[in-house]
Amino acid sequence: MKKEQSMFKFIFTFPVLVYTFILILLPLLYILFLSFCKSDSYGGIIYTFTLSNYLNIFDITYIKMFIKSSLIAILATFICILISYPFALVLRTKSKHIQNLCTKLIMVPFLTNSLIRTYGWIILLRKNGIINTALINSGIIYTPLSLMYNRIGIIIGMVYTLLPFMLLPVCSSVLEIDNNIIEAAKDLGASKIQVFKNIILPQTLSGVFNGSLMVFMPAIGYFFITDILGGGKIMIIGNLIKNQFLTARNWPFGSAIAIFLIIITIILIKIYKRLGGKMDDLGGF
Amino acid sequence: MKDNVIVRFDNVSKSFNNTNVIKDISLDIYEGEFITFLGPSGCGKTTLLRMVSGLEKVSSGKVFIDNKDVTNVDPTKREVNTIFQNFALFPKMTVKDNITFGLRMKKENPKEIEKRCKEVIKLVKLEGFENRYPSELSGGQQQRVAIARGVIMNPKVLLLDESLCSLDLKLKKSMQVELKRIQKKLGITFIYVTHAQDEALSMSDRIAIINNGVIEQLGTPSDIYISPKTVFVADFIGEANIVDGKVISQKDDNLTLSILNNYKINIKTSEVFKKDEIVKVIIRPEDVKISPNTLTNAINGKITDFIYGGENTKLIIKIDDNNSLKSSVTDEERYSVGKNVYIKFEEKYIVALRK
Repeated sequence: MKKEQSMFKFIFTFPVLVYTFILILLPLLYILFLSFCKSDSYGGIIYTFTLSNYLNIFDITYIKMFIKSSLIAILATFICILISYPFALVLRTKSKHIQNLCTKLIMVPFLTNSLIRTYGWIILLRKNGIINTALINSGIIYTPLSLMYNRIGIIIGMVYTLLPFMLLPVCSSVLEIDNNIIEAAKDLGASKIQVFKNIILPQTLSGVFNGSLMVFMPAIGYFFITDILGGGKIMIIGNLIKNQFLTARNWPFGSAIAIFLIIITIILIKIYKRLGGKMDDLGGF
Repeated sequence: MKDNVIVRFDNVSKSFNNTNVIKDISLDIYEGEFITFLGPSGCGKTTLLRMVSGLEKVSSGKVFIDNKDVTNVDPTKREVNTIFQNFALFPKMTVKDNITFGLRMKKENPKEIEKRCKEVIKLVKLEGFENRYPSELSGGQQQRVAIARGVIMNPKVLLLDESLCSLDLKLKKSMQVELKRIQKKLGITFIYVTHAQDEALSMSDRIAIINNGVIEQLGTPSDIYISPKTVFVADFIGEANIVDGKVISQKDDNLTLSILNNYKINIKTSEVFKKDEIVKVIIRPEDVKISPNTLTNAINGKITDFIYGGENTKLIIKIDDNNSLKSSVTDEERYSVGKNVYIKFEEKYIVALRK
């Protein structure tokens, strides 16, 4: 009986295993393998073991780039939190119907390719774009603002593209709080600020952390946003990896940086768990 | 004990979207009593309770706590505390932090908090669980935390909103005893809301039966059980056979009725009825006495159902095509389905009510 059951389980999980193995594990293992290889100057790969790719990451130019792109990503994450949290708190006071509708609307942008949506921002942000024209015509400014091909453009693009990844976990953690618990706190004499500080905030931190991880990690990697809205003037880690693969044709070094990013992600998740977070709250992970 | 009014509802009404949930209720609740609001779901009992805590505003009328008009006072400033239906413990806080929450919010002296916390933990018998999280506790223990969290505030009134509902039967029974013990020990007023009549009967000093936003009857458990004032109360509290009766004659408080195809009964009543008036007659199952032996001047019936219940077994007895009676027996081994029985009544507990 037991043997039959486990056989049954195996048959049904087998396709999933194959899928995960071919599409996720195999490419990753290949990247890991490449990161320990040497490259020749023509973009070929020399299959001898080396740690030099990893040591190269700690070059001062790259470290500066890491810091710069982390700062951009942190800023984008922070702005996403500032937008999402109040939104979730307001949504909490609305009816179930409106809550469901809004959560669905958050997901609408996913229906269009993010690359195309990023191009859309050019029409809005450029010198003679909609925003500048509107501001000049209404007499608020006289000379157009430079909203793109600089850091502002990149931040706007990052926040816009990654906001749903913050909104969804933050909203779900805020909406999850049982109204009874808030009433109980009020009943025990807690003021509005005390309720927020002692009840709402501790219960939603995991959602905020989850969202931060999902915004921060792509934000240091989304090279197309810096390419399109940053005009190629500012490089983030994503650009560096892309360049190693496509321009410099140094696949082993690109792989090493990619693996390095994965390690950072794992460390962040470990810190999160150490702080008492639950893996379940991370949903996707 | 019974002279000091602690909570007063003064012509209180409440409507949600034009439907009246509470209709002009006036009620005095005394210091130190255990009063239960009992009624079916949606009758307004929880709304009434939330008006005391302030979590619900009244549409009209006034609410007084300890002779102070609190109608427009914020829930955070009222000297009452609530035990919620699902306990509503704070999941990210330990038992101790949960219990001391109210005092910490009031910024009490830490030494005082520590002392009071020890006292209430002892009161609810939770010693040794101070550093656990709510998710690590059983239902009964969570219930105790919820009670401790309320009573540590020294409220004038403790409000319990269907607090025992989510517990299993065995635990419910022991928590009933426990609640009563805590209430006696503290001497504060408990207002308990429930739809379960057994909880109400076993714990309360007084019960207010609420239906459709009005109080149908207010009285001690035995009052309400023995002399229900309305058919709804009779039906809701305990089990009852409700049959039609016709008034034959009345002499002072002695009423002679004919029920179930001209069977005559004599009952006591304080009401005055007219001759030939049709009334509702309430007969409790334990007052339906049956015998397998032929009796003179008895109703004949046939057992159609046998509901075994340990010390309290019930039989359904068919009198005719339109009437059946429920009878509770202790000598159930003498009966079986299909058997003919003879019925008499314990007439002094039968109640006649106007339709």
